Amino acid sequence: MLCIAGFLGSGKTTLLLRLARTMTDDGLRLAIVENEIGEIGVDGGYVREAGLPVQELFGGCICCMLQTGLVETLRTIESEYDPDWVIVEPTGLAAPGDIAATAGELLPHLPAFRILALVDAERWEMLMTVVSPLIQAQIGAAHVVAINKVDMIDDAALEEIEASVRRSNASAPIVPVAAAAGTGLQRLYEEVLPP
Amino acid sequence: MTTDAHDHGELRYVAPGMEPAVFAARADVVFAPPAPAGQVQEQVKAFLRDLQGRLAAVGCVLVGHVKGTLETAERGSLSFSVTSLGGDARVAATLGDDICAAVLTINAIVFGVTEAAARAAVLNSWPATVAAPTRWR
Repeated sequence: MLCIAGFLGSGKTTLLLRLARTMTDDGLRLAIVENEIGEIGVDGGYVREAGLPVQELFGGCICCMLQTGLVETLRTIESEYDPDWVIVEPTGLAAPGDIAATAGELLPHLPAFRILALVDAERWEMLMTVVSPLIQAQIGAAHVVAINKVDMIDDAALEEIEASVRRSNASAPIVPVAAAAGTGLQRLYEEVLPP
Repeated sequence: MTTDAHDHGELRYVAPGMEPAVFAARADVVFAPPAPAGQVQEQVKAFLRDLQGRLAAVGCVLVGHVKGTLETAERGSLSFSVTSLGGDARVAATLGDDICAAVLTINAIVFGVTEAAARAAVLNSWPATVAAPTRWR
């Protein structure tokens, strides 16, 4: 199971679609879980248009309110699709560490739970001003951190963000990417799904 | 049309007073006379610019996202997104001309304003910028 966490608007769906395409090209069977806070979602439609099987959870966050819904959804996916990987895109307000804890407790047979945290380089200063604890929690729980939208910032800003990310997570690989442009994704893929 | 009334466990990561305001809705939009694709696209961009201004005016400090789609039965669709109070909207469309009707889906999560203010901003901005009768569900 791969959880793609990151703040609202950080590019999670764009990156998910890019990674999913590479994974299916490699012959992996995927199922996608989309979670949105509002009771009317948008992202699931994009995933469905890409031809990927998607389950949607609306009206709450799978890290808190919809924990049971997530577990039931994962069990359904396991029995109906039997995928190689389930990719979960939680809301941008979710703490992925809590999702991992729930999955570990209620689905102990899951072979792997990888967390990819996506950082929005373009809005980094604003996000660290307004929602810093949430961003730090998302980064801190990650196995891999992707700094997205690096095509929108200069090298000095990227270095500053990398240093800040490193203070929240001392061990995760940090990969600069521009998901919309498709750059940096091969290295990210190798970090997320090591051979 | 929904706002977010549930208790977020994850809000322990958000400073008091900075809780997100959520507004999500669907609406039936009628274009009479039928509208060309370019006109619809420009009206959606105008809506997003106007909405950014209204949100800023009521004290919004951060746009998590305002995203959505405008889907037609036979003339393709349009998707849109903004993640700031001043930046350009991202709009992608596969719309054909002669658009008679569409379903609008919008999902907004913003910070520093009440849910009532976020809802009012959307519901007032749409008719001010999109010249098409709209019935919110």
